Amino acid sequence: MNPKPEPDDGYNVSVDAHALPWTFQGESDADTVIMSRRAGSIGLSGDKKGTARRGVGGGGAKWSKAKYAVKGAHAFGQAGSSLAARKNEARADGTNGWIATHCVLGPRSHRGIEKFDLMRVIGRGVMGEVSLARFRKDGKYMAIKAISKGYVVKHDDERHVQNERLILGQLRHPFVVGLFGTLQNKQKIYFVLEYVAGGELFSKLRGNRCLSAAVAKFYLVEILAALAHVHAGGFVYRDLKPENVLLDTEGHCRLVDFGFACAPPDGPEGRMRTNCGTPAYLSPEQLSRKKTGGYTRIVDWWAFGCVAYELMSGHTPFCPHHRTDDLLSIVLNGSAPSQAKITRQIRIMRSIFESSKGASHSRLLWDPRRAP
Amino acid sequence: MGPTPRALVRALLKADLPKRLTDAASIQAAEFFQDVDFVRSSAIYIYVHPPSISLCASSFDDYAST
Repeated sequence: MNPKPEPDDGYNVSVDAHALPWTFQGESDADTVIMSRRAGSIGLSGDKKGTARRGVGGGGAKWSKAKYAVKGAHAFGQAGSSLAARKNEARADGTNGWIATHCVLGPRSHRGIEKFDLMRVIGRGVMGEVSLARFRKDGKYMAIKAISKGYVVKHDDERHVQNERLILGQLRHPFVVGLFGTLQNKQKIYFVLEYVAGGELFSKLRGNRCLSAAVAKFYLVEILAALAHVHAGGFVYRDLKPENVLLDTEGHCRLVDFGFACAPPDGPEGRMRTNCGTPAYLSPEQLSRKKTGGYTRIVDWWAFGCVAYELMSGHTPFCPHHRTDDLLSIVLNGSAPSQAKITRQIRIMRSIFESSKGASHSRLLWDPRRAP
Repeated sequence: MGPTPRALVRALLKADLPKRLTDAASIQAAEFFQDVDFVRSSAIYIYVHPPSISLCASSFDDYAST
């Protein structure tokens, strides 16, 4: 059903009314993405050292680039019509027009990436980068997340990008980053987002620092409110970690990077089987999803528990050395280790270090297999 | 970590699913959050003062270094 054209009041969304519907696809095991610990989802963070979620594919031949460009244009240029039909506020436009659910940036003549002054890059990832930008019309600062269409199509990440746009467009909450709109051209998609200038919550934990229970409670309450709002909207976040919680200039939290968020295919309590997330925060159900038949949105609360533990102890409860091989056995063999156990481990490590002072470096790297 | 936050973390990270806290309401009811008024959570932005504020005076400050 094509939406009824409406007069251009300057704030309505314009999409291609003749486009194919923006379908919300179900979960699939074919899509397996695991982010390594500290892997750089390209959030609005100020960490410029974000590591790659995946390796960047090598340069392809010209024909393959052209194919990606065409496929990308199809995947994103056609987007938004079902969303617009639901909102009943869309009208016909070219495929390079806005695909946002809401537009607060001004009339059509002001839409386009050329209407922004890109100031500097504030975050970088393999899919693209996040730049601080100033909207020329009113001088307001925003964060523009640019995603390469070619990369997304090449790695079958269209669904994640579509989910991010759809979900962020529907969520309105003081602790969830705001999406002002989305733009696109032939090469890239642009998410025009609220600029959150206070840095990552993770920065509070740098150097194995931990927070007091009272301070941690403040952040946990805001994260809890944001997650509850995401769930109330029928979505699952699936990538909660301190790196994805930014702090604004007043010190309040913003949940960012909804790249792995989705709506469960069978309703809010529906099961998902996609392998995604960050290993240190994966629940037992996610790790054994093939045996258990999938997982539900409660995995977000498991990650919330991991974050709570990390804020108050300075490290994650599982996978302290980021060894994913042992993660499943650690998680399945019991609940979080006690503080006494961790303190004992630290004491043992400290005593080993103290006793090894003055010893040669090679003794520290003693290999029992080579022992006489 | 005191006994109250430890109890919350333990309840959230139970490997046994039926024993785990798996919804927002039960987590909000935990003892750790007993002094938080979640009914007014939407207004928490207004009346709760953050524990720390990043040292950025303008949008051009490099907050990563603060």
